[in-house]
Order: sequence, then C-alpha cells, then structure tokens
Amino acid sequence: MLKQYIKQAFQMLKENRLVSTISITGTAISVTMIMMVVLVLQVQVANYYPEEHRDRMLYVENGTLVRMKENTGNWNSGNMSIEAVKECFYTLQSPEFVTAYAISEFTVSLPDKRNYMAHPVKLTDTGFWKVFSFHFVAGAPFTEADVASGVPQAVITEPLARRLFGTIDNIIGKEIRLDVKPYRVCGVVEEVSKAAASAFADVWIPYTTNESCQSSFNENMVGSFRVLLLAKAQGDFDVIRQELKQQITRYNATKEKYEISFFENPITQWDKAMGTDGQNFVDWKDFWLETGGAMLFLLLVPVLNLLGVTQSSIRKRQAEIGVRKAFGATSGNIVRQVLYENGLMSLLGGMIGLVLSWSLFPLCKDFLLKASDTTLRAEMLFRPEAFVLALLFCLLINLLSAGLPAWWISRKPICEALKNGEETNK
Amino acid sequence: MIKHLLTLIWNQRNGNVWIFLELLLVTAMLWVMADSLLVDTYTYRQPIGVDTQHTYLLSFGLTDDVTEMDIERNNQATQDLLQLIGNLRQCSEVEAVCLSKIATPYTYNRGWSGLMPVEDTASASYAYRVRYVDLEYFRVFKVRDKEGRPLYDQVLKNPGEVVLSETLDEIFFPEGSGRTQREVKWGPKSTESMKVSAVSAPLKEMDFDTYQPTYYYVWRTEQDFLDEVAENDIRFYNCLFRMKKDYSQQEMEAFLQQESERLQVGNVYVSSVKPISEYRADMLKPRLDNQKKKIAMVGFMLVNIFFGIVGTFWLRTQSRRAEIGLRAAVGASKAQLRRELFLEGLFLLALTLPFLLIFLINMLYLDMPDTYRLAYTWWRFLITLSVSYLLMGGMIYLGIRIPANKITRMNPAETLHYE
Repeated sequence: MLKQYIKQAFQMLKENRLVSTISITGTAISVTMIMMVVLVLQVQVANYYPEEHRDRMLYVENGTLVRMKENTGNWNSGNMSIEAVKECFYTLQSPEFVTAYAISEFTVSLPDKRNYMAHPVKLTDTGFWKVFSFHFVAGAPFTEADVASGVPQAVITEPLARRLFGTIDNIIGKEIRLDVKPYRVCGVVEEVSKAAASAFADVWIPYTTNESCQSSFNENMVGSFRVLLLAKAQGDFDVIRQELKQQITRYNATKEKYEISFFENPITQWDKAMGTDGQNFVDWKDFWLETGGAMLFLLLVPVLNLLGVTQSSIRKRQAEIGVRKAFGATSGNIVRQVLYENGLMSLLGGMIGLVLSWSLFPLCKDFLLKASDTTLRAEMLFRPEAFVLALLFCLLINLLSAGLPAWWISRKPICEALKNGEETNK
Repeated sequence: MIKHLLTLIWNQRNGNVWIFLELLLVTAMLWVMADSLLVDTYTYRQPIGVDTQHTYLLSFGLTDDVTEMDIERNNQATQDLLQLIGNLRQCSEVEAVCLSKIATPYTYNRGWSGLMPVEDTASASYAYRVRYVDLEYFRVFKVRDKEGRPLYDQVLKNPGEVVLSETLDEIFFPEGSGRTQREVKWGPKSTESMKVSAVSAPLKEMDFDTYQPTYYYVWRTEQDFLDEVAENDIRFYNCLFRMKKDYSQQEMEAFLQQESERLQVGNVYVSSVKPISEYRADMLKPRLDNQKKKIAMVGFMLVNIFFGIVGTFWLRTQSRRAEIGLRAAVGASKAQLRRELFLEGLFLLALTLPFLLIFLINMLYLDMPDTYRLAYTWWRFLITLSVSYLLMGGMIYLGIRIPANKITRMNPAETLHYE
C-alpha cells in the first residue's frame, strides 16, 4: 500500500508542477530558517574542539558577588581573587578537574620587531589543559612547576606562530614578547574557534607570571579570575554545588567584613546558551517561550500557505476519495494516504532546507553568532541531532498543513463527496 | 464593484481563509518590524557628537608593573607619559593627541557626577554623565558646537572649566529662564563656582542611543592635568589620538614600528594601539545583528506571502476556468479580467486593515513600541503602516502576475470547451 501511495505521490508531483514547487519551496524555506535557529543553539551547546566535554562542565564566569556582611548595599560584582579560587574551588573533591583563568590583552612580538596589535591572552593554571582537549601540533603545555614558580612559558596558536615565525618547526623554546615581557614558547596548538569562548585565546600563559591579574580587593576576595569545573558525570552537578556551598560558608567564616557568593553559579553550558551570563539568570521557561515562539512563527506562516494549497488540491480529488471510501476505505486510510502523499513533498522540502541551512549558515554566521569572525568547524554543524530535528520539523509541517484538509475530506459522506467531486471536476 | 469583489471573496471563503490569516499575521509582524527598524534608523542617523574617524586609543604600560603605585613612581610615570605624548605629536602623520578619563567613545568606561547651576537652590544635585578631557580632546574628536563650528576655538577663547552638551544646557539654562550668566557648581554645598566655557552639540554614547545630558570637565593646561593626576593613578587615564588620513591595519603597524623608538620613554611604553572604529564595531554588533535578523525575517515573510498568493490564485484560476471563459466570451477584455484578479488580491489585503488597527491600538496601549527613543507620532504611524502595506501589496502583485498571465493566454473557446 505504501508503495502505491508513494507512486501516486510522485505522479501528483509531476502532474501539478507549480503546486509541488510551491509546497516544496515553502517547506524548504521554513526548514532553513528553523534550522538556522537550531544551528545557532548547536554551536552554543555541542561538544567540539577544544571544549569536548561541555555537557559535563560547570562555569563561574563574571558571576562573583562580594559584599559587606553588615551593609549588604555595599557590593562588588565581577570576578574572584586567586585566593578565593584556591580556598573555594581548588579544594573541591567531587569534580574531575578544576581550572581558573583571567583574561587580558597583550601585543605579541619577536625580540627584534615590535608589534602593536593586541591579542587575547588567557592567564591560567595547568588544570586548563585537562579540562579542555587541546591538540598540540608542537611542544606541550606549561607544567605545574612552571606555574608554581612563575616561569614565563607561553602556549600559542598555530596561526599566530605562523604569523610570527613564518613556520611552526623548531620554534619551541624561542623567545616572544608579550608587551615588553619576554616569554618562551612551550607549545603550539591548533586554532581555537571564538565560539569555544571559555577556551579561546591566541596565547595562554601561567597566571603567576603576571602581577596585575593577581591583585585583589575587599579582603582579598575580589579579583579577575573565573572558574571552570569538569564533573565526572552530569549527575554530579548537584553534588558539586552542594560541596561548593560548604566551601563558601567555610571561607566566609574566615573573613571579617566581607562575604563572597556566586549568584546562581556554577551554571551549565545550556544555561549559558539560554542567555544566563553569570549575574542574570535566564529561566529555561522564558527562553523556550521566546525561542519556541519564534520557531512556531517560522513554522506557522508557511503552514498557512500550504494549507490553502492542499485544501484546494484535495477538494479537486473529492470524487476519487469518494470512490475509495465507497469501496471500503476507512477514514484512517484516507487521512494516511493524504499525509503520505504530502509527506513526500515535505520530506523533499525538508532535505533541501537542511542543505540550504548548512550552506547559508557560514555566510550568516557574523550576525547570528555573538563574536564576529568566528571560525566554524565541521563538527559544530554536521551532527546527527540536526538531521533528526530537521526530519521532525518536516513531519510537523506535514501534519499541520495536510492533517486538517485530510481530516475534513475523510469526514465527508460518500455520496456528497462523489457529487461535489463530479461538480468540481466537470 | 466593491460589492462584487466582496461577493467573490465570500464565495471562495474556504480557500481564502488560510491566505487571509496569513496576510493578517504577516502584516502585523511586518508592522512590528518596520516600527522597530524605523526607530533604530532614526536614532542611528543622529550624530553622536564626536567624530571617531581615524582616531585611536593608545594603551600604555609600565615596564615595572606593580599592583600598588606610590606617589614618586606615579609622578615619574606621568612625566614620562607626557613626554611620550610630546613625541607622538611631533610625528607628521599625527593630527592631534589628547589625554582623558572616562571619555573614550564606544567603551563602557563611563562615569557620572553631580552638577548644578550656581543659582540653583535645590538641596541636591543630579548626577550627569561626565567626561574629563584636556583641550586637545576637542581637536582629536572634532567636537562641534550646535551651529557646527569647531568647539576647540571657542573653548580656547572663553575661560571656564566646564563644557555642557546642548541637552544639559537646555536643562540648566532653558531659554527664557533669565539665567544668562552660565556658571555651575558641583553640589548644593560647593562654595566654588565654575564658568561654562562653551556648549557642544548634543552627545550620546553610541549610535543607537538617545542624547544624554553630558558635560566635559576640561583640564585647560598641563598643570591642571598634573594637579589632577597627583592624587590618582596615572594608569586610569587614556591617551587618544587622531591620524591625518585613513590608515589600514598594516600601514598603522608599519607607522608605529617606524616610530617605535619614540614610543618608549623611561618606564612608560606604548603597549597597543586600537582604532576606535573597532570599539564601535564591537559595541554596535548586537544591535546591528538584531537588525539583520529582523530583515532576514521580513524577507522570509515576504517570500512566503509570494508563494501563498501564487498558490491560492493559481488554483483559483484553474477551478474558475469555465467562469472566466464565459466572461471573456461575453465581452470582458483580458485586461479587465486581469485587473479583477489583482483587485481581488489587494481587496483581501485591505480587509486585514481593521484587524491590524485593533492589534496596533492594543500594542500601543500596552506600550510595546519603543516610545523612549522616538515619540509615537502620526508620521511614525503612517510611515510604518504604509511601508508594511506597500511591501505586502507589492508581493501580492508579483504573486498574482503568474496566474493572471495564464488567464491572458486562455482561449475562451477552449476554456468553454471544458464545459
């Protein structure tokens, strides 16, 4: 029977070219738009180089609040000091790895040639290389000993290495200058996309090699560090939060005037994607109400189009359907037939839409993604989830646009359908 | 005619209802987007009050960077910085160099401080946006007064430490208030008064904002600046400069490398140089992205309308072949038949108007449109409404053209033959 339906559907596709074109293009455009929204989300939550474990990560970025114990109107929000990192986070037992980093900008030059363009730099510890999975094309990350004694070592990206040295061969151990301070290159990593914002930088150095990132205020609690935690499993998130709470209480007890807290942090990658930025927490309900609303609109407009078209074409086939019913087809059969036939067009449109969204996304990424000049990697876009979702939206479009007319026609009494059909097709 | 059209539309209500719903939904969305784009464009076109073309922020560093700065080191660093700036001024490619605090355009480095007219007896002063600048700042950013004349000349000529923006001037010294002598003070308890040297064109933080009451506090001489820095960390001050012509990133890099020896004096060195245009791009990005997304949505909706109209009217001309053939046979010209089809489509669109107006009134009642940046006026209403309907009308016209052309190709005898 299914074969029969498909044959018939193909026949109809050929018979009424314009209507088929409209249905297919309409679906394609709708799926393209929806998939763009999906792809933006995917870039924000999927695991890819070097943030390969986003689903197990927790973040405390720009989410530190330090206020006076007595006068809570006096507060400072931003990031934490290295002391707070050590007291509250490094000592956590439940996460697999913990890392802290500060961000800065430095010019990167060779000893004999000064450059004046600033590059993003992350000042961090050795945990950073365990939380993220960087691919080293040469050398290795700086070591625990480097961090402990503030040895000026630097990990740089491959494109930066090429710009500076013209090559990536034999550059380990060579001197570079961050502003005017000499560092030695200890490792070169594959380029990092700006979409992997927590890992992204052009240069990574031990935080102990820089004075100003370690300065702190308010009883050594306010500073410039952010913290990332890698849980052993997703289910550990609550355990970690619980343990952190105890750490905070203990740490605050040692302070006289000020106390530290972290708003709703640590937050997950999904929280970040939904717009939570450390200090303003976005509820998933609000997010889905907005995003879902936009998606619904993107679905609804073409569905209204298709409804008009399917309605008319079904009306023309009243007689045929009347005959089928007269020979014993149930309403379910009829509805299924219409859905299958229409489904073929939706599917064709959906696949075109998916391919279109993949090819359009790189062109539109500059205004769709937060950072400009974000480099895209294949594993950000081509994921099975995208395929499944596109299929799902096709089915939804099909159900909405053909379901109603199908239901209408299947309920028509046989004789009326036959009579009307005769009239329409005279 | 109208009655005839109404009858036509009503008789086909089954096929029309979906397309009508779509027209209604899309027109409403179009209006929402046209309105927000109009407000954005309107505010974007108002100048921000400073000219940032060819201007750069020079970040400087200290070779012996420490967290705590003592007075002696601070004084030495200030002297070194002033000399470095002097070196930069000597470069023939550089037009002007200035020092400032919380006055770099397109950054979040901002500050507010109380100010009030000297005659004002109010018990407290409001805090207004303040920018601390030296005289050269007005040359670097080509600041102008409200008539468009360079402000630098006026500040040089008229004594006074304060320059008000036009917006703040209107608050402090409204016309007809009789306050001709423009003097201000920090707060109600201040005993000192300061003269207002000039009034600048209105100022805002970035292109998509509205004008904010702002004032400049001006260090008129180098000594003024030294007095100010004596109590503050020199690292909180910004050095900004303007080049004489446009430089690409490579050219700028080459220029700085060529001058690199002059760009380090004592402990102070030039760390990096970043064009203000980059800060601008970063700050405007979310707003511009939003606009582009809206335009993409508008495109999406219009394409959908096109397809919807083509589909509906195509099927209609097919099922009404006999009727059309008959009308052609009894003397209706092809142009007449086409026109009728167009009118039918446009009339369908016109029917959305009352519903749209109800929606619009509701939106206004809920204060959903942005009335903060642009008051809701008749011209705003007319422009957004007519743009939405013109776009829709255009799409409907394009959509009906295809089935309409088919009609003109119909042969009455043949169509009637189907009967």
